[in-house]
Amino acid sequence: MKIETKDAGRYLVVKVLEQRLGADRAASFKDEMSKLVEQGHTAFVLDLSEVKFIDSTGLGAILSILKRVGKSGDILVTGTSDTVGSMFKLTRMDRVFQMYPTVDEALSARV
Amino acid sequence: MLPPKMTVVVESRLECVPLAGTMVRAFCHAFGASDVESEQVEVCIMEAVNNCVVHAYQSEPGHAVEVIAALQDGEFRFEVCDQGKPGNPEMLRRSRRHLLDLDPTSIDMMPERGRGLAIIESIMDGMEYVTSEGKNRFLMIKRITCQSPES
Repeated sequence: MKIETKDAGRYLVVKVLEQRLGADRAASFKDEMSKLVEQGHTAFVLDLSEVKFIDSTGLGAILSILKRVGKSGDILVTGTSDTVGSMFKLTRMDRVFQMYPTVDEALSARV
Repeated sequence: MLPPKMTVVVESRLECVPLAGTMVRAFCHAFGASDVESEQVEVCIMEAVNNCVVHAYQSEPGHAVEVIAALQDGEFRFEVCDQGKPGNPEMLRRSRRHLLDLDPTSIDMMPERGRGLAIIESIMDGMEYVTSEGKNRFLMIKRITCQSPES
């Protein structure tokens, strides 16, 4: 799972560099994010602008990280395509995660 | 004229699942499904094939998952078949859409897995699970809104 991280104050921006976040990549995604949590990061902006496909396992992996960071943590989701956004809506995950069109808009909303 | 039909067989490995989804999406799009409908079908096919790999074959590689896509009478019909451990046909008797009802204030209680069938139920117009003589078949039907085969 290829990701790219960028420090943005309280938040760590994590950009997923894969086009698909399905069952075959979910475990690897969880591993990468878990490493970041173990390093002490608990607030993330998850940039999914490169992701063209996500399934229930991929969504479950993102949810598992939200559970891991706990109530004091935060995960903002940005850059979802129509397809990926519709999966968040279908599974009601758009009620669980704050979603923004871009990383900048997410960070501005949290200033 | 024979109705359009496609069969793809993938190995029971999660990294092989996207091939099945991609091919069925292309099949649907070629025979008149919209981009949205085709992508929704791709999700359903991948969820169903994931279930075969993980549950029917217990994540053991080397087994075949067969996906058949056909267009007949204005309906796309899909079969996802395996010869692994049968699932419980009762799993389709009750709606699973309630699994998609989330309480955003109870994140700790939210399941991380198990939404695949609920997603399929939300997208498809019909589902059936049949197991017979060692072969398990998960059938899905999607009625399309327009139909104009690509030339």
